[in-house]
Amino acid sequence: MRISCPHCGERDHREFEYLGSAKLLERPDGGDRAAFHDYVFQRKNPTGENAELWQHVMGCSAWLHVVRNITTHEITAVKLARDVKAAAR
Amino acid sequence: MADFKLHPSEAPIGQPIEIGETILACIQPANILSIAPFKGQGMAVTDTLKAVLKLALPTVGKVTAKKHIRAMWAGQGQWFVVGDIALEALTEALDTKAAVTDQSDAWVVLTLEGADASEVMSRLCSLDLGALEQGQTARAEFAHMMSCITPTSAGFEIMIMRSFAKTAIHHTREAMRKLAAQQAL
Repeated sequence: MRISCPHCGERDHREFEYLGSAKLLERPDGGDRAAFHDYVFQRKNPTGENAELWQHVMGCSAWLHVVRNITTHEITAVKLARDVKAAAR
Repeated sequence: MADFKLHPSEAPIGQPIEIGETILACIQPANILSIAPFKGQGMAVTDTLKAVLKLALPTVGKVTAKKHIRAMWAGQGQWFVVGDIALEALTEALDTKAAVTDQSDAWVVLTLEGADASEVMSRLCSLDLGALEQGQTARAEFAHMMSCITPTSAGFEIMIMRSFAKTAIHHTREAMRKLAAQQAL
């Protein structure tokens, strides 16, 4: 599996560290307990494409928003997590 | 200001290690300065560097050089300025523009040179070395450790954290030894 880092180009997946669902970018207001419970614990478990957070820890240290097909491991999109977060604002 | 700098008691490699057609050496620069511009301050940092060192911050994956001083990209939002630099003056000039830390004692600069340097590198680093051109630099895995790999006219420069230097030298020496042994068959 290879991930195409927006800064560094295509690199072997051993240079990256997996964090979890990209839902972590959508942190709700701390006051809403139900929403925060969902944010911390509730995850979809799709068989197809899933948005995930990876860090290029052996490379440029950037956090990446990676769309990966969980069944085939095909990666269809890689963006900087900060850009995805900025676009969502 | 008090001198907080650690002065390493010994160089990681005293004499260059020569095995087969490859030479591993340590060329430690006088200073390594990490510069991480604050939000929206990238241009201001470049202007300051141009005024003080006549050097601009390079773009992603690039190196700029002026005489013996180099500025190299070192990851997202981070650059290293390497060479004999007036640290205090530069730190002061960048005061409100960037987070500046003295990394002189934190990183070790190794060079791998000789006819088989690429062969040895390819045993230690998953980077596409053929695609790496002069003037470029890459943050990449080197012997399972994070590093900065920069091609030079004679081979490669490998920057590695000082705490990992012994391990990096061990793995490089092993790769050099094994390549030489294979070639002797």
